[in-house]
Amino acid sequence: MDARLRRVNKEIADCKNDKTSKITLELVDESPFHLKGAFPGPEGTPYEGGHFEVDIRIPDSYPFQPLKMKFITKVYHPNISSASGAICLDILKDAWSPVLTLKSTLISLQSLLCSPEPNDPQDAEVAKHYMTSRSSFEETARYWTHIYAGGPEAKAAGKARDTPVGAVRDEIAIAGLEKAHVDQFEALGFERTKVIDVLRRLNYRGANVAKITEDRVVEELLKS
Amino acid sequence: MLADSLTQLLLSDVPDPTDFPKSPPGLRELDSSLRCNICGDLFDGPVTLACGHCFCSLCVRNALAEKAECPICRKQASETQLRVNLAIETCVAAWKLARTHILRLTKEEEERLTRPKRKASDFERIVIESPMKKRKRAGGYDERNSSPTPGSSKSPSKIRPKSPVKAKRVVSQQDDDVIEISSSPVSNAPDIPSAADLVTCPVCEKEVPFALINKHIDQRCPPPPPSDNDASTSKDAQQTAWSKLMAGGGGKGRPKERGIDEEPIPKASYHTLKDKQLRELLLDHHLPVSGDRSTWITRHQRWVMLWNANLDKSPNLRKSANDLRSELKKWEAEKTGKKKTVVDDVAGYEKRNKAHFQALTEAARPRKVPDKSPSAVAPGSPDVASPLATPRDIILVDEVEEVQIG
Repeated sequence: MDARLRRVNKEIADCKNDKTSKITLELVDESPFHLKGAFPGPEGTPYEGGHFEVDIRIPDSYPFQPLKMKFITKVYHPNISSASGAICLDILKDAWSPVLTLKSTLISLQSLLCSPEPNDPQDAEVAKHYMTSRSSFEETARYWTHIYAGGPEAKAAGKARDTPVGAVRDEIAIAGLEKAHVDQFEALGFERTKVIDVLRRLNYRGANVAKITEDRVVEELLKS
Repeated sequence: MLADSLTQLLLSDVPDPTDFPKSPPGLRELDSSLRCNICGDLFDGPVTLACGHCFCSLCVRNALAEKAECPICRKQASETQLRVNLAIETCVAAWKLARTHILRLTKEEEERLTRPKRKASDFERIVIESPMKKRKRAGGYDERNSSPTPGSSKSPSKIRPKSPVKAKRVVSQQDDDVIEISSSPVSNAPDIPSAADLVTCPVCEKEVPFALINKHIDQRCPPPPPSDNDASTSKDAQQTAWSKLMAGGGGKGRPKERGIDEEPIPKASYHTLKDKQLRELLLDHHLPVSGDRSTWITRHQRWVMLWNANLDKSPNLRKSANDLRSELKKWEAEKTGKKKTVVDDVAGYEKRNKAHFQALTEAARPRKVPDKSPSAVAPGSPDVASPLATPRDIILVDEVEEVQIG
């Protein structure tokens, strides 16, 4: 057994034996170098109650090269791509150290959920949302946790139930927008998906709503 | 299926600090403190950085090649800071010897502690109920060991004044010993001291080898004599151990004796070297010169790393240059040959893929035929098919070759 496999073996055993961290690892295929890690969303964050899965690939030159990780579960977070799950975290790039392990890296991901770094974003739109209106961002993040990570039903989801067209409301909540704003522009005769797309791109949320004129939005809608 | 292979993976025996239970404190910590934080194995050629952190020489050289900082504290570091840590190396050597033994002892201790208490009390009851039987056996034990103990009936009376229960237990254990040796010595091993184990004398409460306890009590508890048999058996071992240690300590100081070969290899600035010089560099160390320039460079880099890391070990633990060469070869094969499938059963593989091979041969044939007799080619299709098929065929043929090599 080569050194890398021996180390990976120990690390998996370490995660299995450690009941307190609640981090789990499993094989994806027959290879011990392709794993699926999972951890619970940290308490006191919009991700609380969710179950987050991470795709892990162990490179040939591990532990001298960083682990390759990306989220399988969709996460609404400034440092995680909402589309691909790619993660922007220093230790997965140039700040990697060979003494880091699967467990310590997954714990770092967990703490990344606690403390976003909007100044070094992976998903610029989400980061803008985070900077503009923290409460609106958290509501959206909670909603994503609910629908993608199996988290508890959030406020946003509760509202969705009240409205007759739940599916459409979901789309708005996922984009982190206000229904009233979408309705307002939809009433002008634009397609709903288009409106959602443009408003999200313009970051039409919180204090920004006052800064962005309606003309500007209409202009963008006509352009798209 | 996947869960199976995961457990299979975890079942393979990889020594780890968690082998030790938590209960006797310090053992787990001791084991983990003698392990490299990079590879997780016991230190192999331990070296220390300026910040004081210790790693295997090869591990830290690998890490420093990626980034010039201590992997633990991230303080700036370089290979020139590396200092051999002889004390840790000696510790690891000793711990390697002791580890299995201590592991066994802790396991036994754990078993003994978790065993139901009822058993111990049963034990005593039996002893009390049948003193005659016990004495008989105890006598038998004495005869067997041909120890000069006067009748065993005497010893209990001597012990009684201080702690009768304790005394009985000691005797009963020895009684048990006789039985157990014939049936299953392993299962109950923790309870029964072997001849060399120390037991507490019930009278003077000194530690006395079990084999001598009766004699000790009969002679009214003299101070324990130096254990002769122990010394005689381990004397040779001690001597070799000492000579090993002495050689290890002095090894660093006399590299001249071992010749220039044992000098560390300086790093080369490859971009200033011409191909020919690079080639010579490899040939100097009897390394293969296959592959292109970049292969040569990585090969030489790895060789320097392996060689210098090997020198950080005590001379008696070092690998030979040939071992290092085969290690380098293995490393290169692993690095480049990831895609190659290794076929163990060549004949079986050929049989199983016979149809596939035949199809390949068939596919390869039309390419040659047209050269010899273009007229023989079946009308139409091959001409159209061959330009498309050709590149694929080559790849497939390569695959077959690889397999045969493997």
